[in-house]
Amino acid sequence: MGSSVAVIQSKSRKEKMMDFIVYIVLITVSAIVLIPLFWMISTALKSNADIYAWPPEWIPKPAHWENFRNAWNAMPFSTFLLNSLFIVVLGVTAEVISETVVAYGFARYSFPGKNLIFIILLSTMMLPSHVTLIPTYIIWNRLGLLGEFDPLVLRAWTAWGPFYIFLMRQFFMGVPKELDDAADIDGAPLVQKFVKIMLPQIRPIIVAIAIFAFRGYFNEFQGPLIYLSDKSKYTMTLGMYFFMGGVNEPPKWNYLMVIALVITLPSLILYFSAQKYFIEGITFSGLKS
Amino acid sequence: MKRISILCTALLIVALLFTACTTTGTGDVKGSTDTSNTPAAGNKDQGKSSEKVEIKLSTWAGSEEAAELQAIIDRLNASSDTYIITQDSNPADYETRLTTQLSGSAGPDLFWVSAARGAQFAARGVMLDITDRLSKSDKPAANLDDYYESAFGPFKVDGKIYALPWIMQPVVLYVNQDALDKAGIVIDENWNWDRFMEAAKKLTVDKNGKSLGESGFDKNNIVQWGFTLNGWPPVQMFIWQAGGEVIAEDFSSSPIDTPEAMKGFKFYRELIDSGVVPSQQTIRDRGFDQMFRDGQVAMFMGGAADSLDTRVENFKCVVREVPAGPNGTKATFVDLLGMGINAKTKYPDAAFEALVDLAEEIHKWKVMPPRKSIGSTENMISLHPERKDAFPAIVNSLSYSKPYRFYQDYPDWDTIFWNQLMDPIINSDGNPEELVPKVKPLLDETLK
Repeated sequence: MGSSVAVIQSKSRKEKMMDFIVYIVLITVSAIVLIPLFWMISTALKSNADIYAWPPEWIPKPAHWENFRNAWNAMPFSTFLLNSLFIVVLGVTAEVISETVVAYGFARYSFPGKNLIFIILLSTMMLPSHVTLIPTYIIWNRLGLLGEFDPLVLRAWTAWGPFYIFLMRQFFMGVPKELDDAADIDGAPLVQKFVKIMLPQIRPIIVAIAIFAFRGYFNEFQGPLIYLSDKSKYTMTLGMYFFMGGVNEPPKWNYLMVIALVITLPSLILYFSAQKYFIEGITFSGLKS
Repeated sequence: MKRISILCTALLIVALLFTACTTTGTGDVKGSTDTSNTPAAGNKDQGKSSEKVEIKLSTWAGSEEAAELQAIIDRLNASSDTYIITQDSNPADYETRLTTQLSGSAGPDLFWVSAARGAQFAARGVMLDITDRLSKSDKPAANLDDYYESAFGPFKVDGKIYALPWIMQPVVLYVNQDALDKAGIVIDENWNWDRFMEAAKKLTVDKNGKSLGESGFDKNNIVQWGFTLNGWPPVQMFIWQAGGEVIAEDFSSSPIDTPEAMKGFKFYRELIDSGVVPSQQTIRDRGFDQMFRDGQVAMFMGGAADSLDTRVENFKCVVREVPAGPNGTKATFVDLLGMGINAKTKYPDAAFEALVDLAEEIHKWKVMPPRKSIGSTENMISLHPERKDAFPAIVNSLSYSKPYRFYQDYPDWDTIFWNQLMDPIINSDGNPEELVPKVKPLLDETLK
């Protein structure tokens, strides 16, 4: 009896020790991961002269909270933010709709050359963006849509994210075919079957892809860089670069970090608020029949 | 009810999409270039002389510089009957943006261009040939005789001119005069490599106030270095000062193995080895020019327009000429920037008028203008009185300054030169005598 208690106690002590080590490792790794974020916040609150102070100051004294106001007012960032959100809302909506439809087609229908088309679709992921940059630009130019938001949004209707299509197809393939059959027997039209029966089954991956797409559109730099040429249409990422300086104009790192922080926040908030769906979307393996 | 809400949502999406397709999305009215980015996209016919055409200008100006440029543009727009210049400035990845737009047969009517890119654009016909227009114009900025001879180098191909230079800033020496006075150093007309190295050693001071070379000097606790370099200033400057070259005048070879050129490389390496320059890691950590501003470096070579003499607050900063070479040869690098017209613009005449007018105003704004009539010491002092003490050295430097020998494929040559030769010399204790024979054939190959 005494020895079994000792074993339990010893095991418990071992477990505690393991927990302690795990926590130490997790805290250390988290601290390392958070250092850049902390440095970004610290720099955002420094004067430009203090940024290169040696030894570096982690906590600025005094904290220049006015940097937030000054950076925001230095350029029309309210307009830039609205432009970014405008592109994000339209882009994410278009992307989710178009890619869901395409993925459903690949998962549920048989047609000649299906596998070949799917492989070609996936292989487009291998193409570096620089290869397609100028041809795509010429297409939008011929369509007369340069300088507008259209090149940044309309492309999403072409289901241009092969990786997202792949993920959704896998999810659709995990949904039991019996659900389709039941809907067919009940005489449900295709659109109704797709919207009311299939989409709810893959909600986690839709949310996950929406978050990915949100980050992609909100942080996108190259598209706005080449397609937008009017400052009133600039996005946050493009506007941020005004603080990089110019000929003989030194960069304003503190203002740049302020805007970088603002750009980071929506993604963080969205991720934490939809964390449950996001993780489900990544790990969920579909229903069992 | 659900169907209605779905229908409403769908309608909203379609409406938003329609908005995206047909309006600016931010409530702006479409401007004359909104239909596309094509230079021809203005909504006015140039034949109608009573109406102004929109000339789109792309630059890499940052926030402050763009604001100053806009003030100039506003003045020009108010006084011109021909054009309205609209500025599209963004320092973000300017070259990718411009080359993509121009490759896609679009882009601005007018644009700022670096010397290296200017040489490429000129050779490939991307920019409009303005030679005849310049000769016919009676505007001051179109008078070629008024420009310094080297100002058109990168923008000229087969005798044809493709861009107007708008700044020509020579590399000068910014000096912490307080530190020099303390060390008893005087920069005079005999300022050469030996004197420079001697001064740099005296100005390299440890926490106990001892200079490099003094007994008891603590090299692990240096509080002030004499000089700094990290690939800037360019080694070409020192090679020119020693009488050498890196690209032959006829572009047939890279004579980097001549005794003169080797002297330049070795002096560059000697600056690093002697201890008067901080380690590259220290420079990266503390900021290159920031170390000079903070008083951690006593002498700094920068562009004349860096204006450190007016921007540094902690000590008296003055501008001096860079040292002469071992034989007294004076040479310094000059950074040239130009402004060209898109060869596909539909408004070449209006764009040319805007180019010449804008160049004239920028010449009065920037230090240094590429023109003799504006760039005299007296005139520069009257335009920028806050830098009156700096102009004698800057104007003198301009007289012996020169740009790189740019040509169409210069970026290829430049990549090899910096990656395979200078990077090892600066960052990996590379020995110029071992590296030069290996790299020279590669450089020669790019010139064939």
